[in-house]
Amino acid sequence: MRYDKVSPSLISTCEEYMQEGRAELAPRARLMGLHPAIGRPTPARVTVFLRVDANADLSSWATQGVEINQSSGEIRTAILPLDRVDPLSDDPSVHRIIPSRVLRPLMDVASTRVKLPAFRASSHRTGKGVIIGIVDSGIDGAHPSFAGRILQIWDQTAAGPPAPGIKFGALLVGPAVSSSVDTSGHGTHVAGIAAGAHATFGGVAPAAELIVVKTDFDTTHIADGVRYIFAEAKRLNRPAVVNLSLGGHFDAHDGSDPLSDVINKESGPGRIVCCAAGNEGTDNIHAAVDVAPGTQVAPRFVLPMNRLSVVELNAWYPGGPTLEVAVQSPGGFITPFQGISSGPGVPPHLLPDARVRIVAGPPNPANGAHQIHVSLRGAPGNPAVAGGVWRLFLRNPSSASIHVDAWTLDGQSSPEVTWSGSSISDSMKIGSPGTAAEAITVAAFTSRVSWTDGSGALRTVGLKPNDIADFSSEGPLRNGARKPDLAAPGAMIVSCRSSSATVELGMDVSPQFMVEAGTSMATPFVTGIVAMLLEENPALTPTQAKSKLAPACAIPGQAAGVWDPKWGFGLLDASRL
Amino acid sequence: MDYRKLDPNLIVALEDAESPEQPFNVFVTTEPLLGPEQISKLENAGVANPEPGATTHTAQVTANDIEALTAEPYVRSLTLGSRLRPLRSRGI
Repeated sequence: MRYDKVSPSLISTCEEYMQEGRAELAPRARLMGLHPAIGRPTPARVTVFLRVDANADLSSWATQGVEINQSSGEIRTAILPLDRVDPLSDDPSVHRIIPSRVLRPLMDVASTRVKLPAFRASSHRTGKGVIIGIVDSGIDGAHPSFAGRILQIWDQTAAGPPAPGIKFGALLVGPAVSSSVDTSGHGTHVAGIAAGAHATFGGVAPAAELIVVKTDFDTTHIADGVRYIFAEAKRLNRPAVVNLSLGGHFDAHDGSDPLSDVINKESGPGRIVCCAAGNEGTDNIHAAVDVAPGTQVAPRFVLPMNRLSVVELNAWYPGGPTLEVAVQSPGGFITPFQGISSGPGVPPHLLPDARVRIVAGPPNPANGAHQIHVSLRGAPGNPAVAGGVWRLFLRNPSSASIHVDAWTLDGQSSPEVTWSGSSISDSMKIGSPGTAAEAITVAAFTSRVSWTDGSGALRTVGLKPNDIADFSSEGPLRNGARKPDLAAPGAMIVSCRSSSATVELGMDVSPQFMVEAGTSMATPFVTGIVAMLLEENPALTPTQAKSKLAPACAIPGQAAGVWDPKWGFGLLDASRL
Repeated sequence: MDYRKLDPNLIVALEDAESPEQPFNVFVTTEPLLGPEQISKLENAGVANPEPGATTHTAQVTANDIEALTAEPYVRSLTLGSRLRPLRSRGI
């Protein structure tokens, strides 16, 4: 045994096994991925992580009962007989053998925190008869937590044949659903929270059935996905709740955008949509400024150095008097001021260090407000937008004050372009589709901040436990409408792991489960609850659902019924439903 | 082309288009209660399954389609589809 390559706890387990036999392994099986197989002829085995050479060919170990789940990569998972740990450690391409760990069931922590077990016990509801629609990155169709309950998958990213009446994508039904993969893993995790069935890491509504739309995240296709799920539910004469754990900041932040419009019109009796609030609670993506008559303001925003190929600003202000707009680059170069344009877009302003395009349109017919769209690209010959401090100049030639809200857009998974200075505003960070008036919009509550990961290390995140998650986006909307609606557990949550997704080592729990955080995780919690409400009343409307949920929520230390821009009406207490 | 019916994002996308055939995913907002002739025109312009009572439709269209749609009096606006992202939190 190469003791320097094997985790001390696994060395101890192997030695105990050799000296005492498999009966002594049972207590350890509660702590690590041990399979003593007591009373069976199969050898005692252990589930491990392997740190190996990225291109190592370990296939020959299969003849010794070592089952390695990946054929490449520096981190692989495997299950092997305990007596094979010793020879495997001698393999020069193997650098470390680490037993997997059994974590505490965080979904149970989350469930208990919102008193879901009490609600289940009193209501005897499981989501049976209800369709949960998931529009997301797809689903691991072979994951045992969903066995026999995925009715169909519309894969918008695959080549046909599509569903009848649909012009793109591929429809998977019956046994074909098990061939569907989710390389992101996001949709599988989300679906597991809403409807996974598992003794320890089960979801909220484990008897609900699923219709999954694997989307490319284009808003038009998301709208198509929502319509498709409700149309199928109608055809099957079943109530449905659709989960949208996705978002962006391309819209007016007032619920007037087309995706919100589709959600509002598709919602109704037995048709409910739950949306994530967003994760920009600590990101300075929103600026709010007042431009007094006859003056100008110049809020600053900061770009990273030479990393982004395109950056956009999305600014809105009420109809009426109009602004003139200019942009200053980090080199101090400034575009001419530009007013409302209703013809072809103004050609880009070519500055020595940037190309800047400003489009300021007439009032948007959906909300009567003006939108300013600013697009930044690198100077000719430079693919990256110049990093440093930029300024958005807003000049008000009118006699009335004008309030402007502006959001940065950079296409990154975590925002890299942010406002600085006094223009920063923590409010209005909920974008579409969380802005849809009929949707139930969900903020994230932190029910857990530390856990033991697969390597045995204690992991801790910088969130305040038993509080609203810092990252959870704040409302209200730009028109003052109250969003989010409520909060649910969104950190740190264990749910289903897609077998085809790459998972950070510290986020692994087992080959079938993993830890994630986000309002993405809080939303399916409420989706599952709504499925249980629809089980009781298949004609429940979004308004009725909100009327049932709001009185069952509360902000800690405050009475039910108090609304807060970060919490909504507070954390759900399912026992009060 | 009636640019007043286009949202600024779509105007920029049209100007940045690499060819006239480049497709755009858009929302088409129309008056409600469209007739068969209007439904047919929408379908010919790339609108997927327009329904008589609906006011928000999805479509994959070219610049020529967009020009044709903006000329129709019952078409209120066209909005470029945008790419959303899954809301898992990273780096906490």
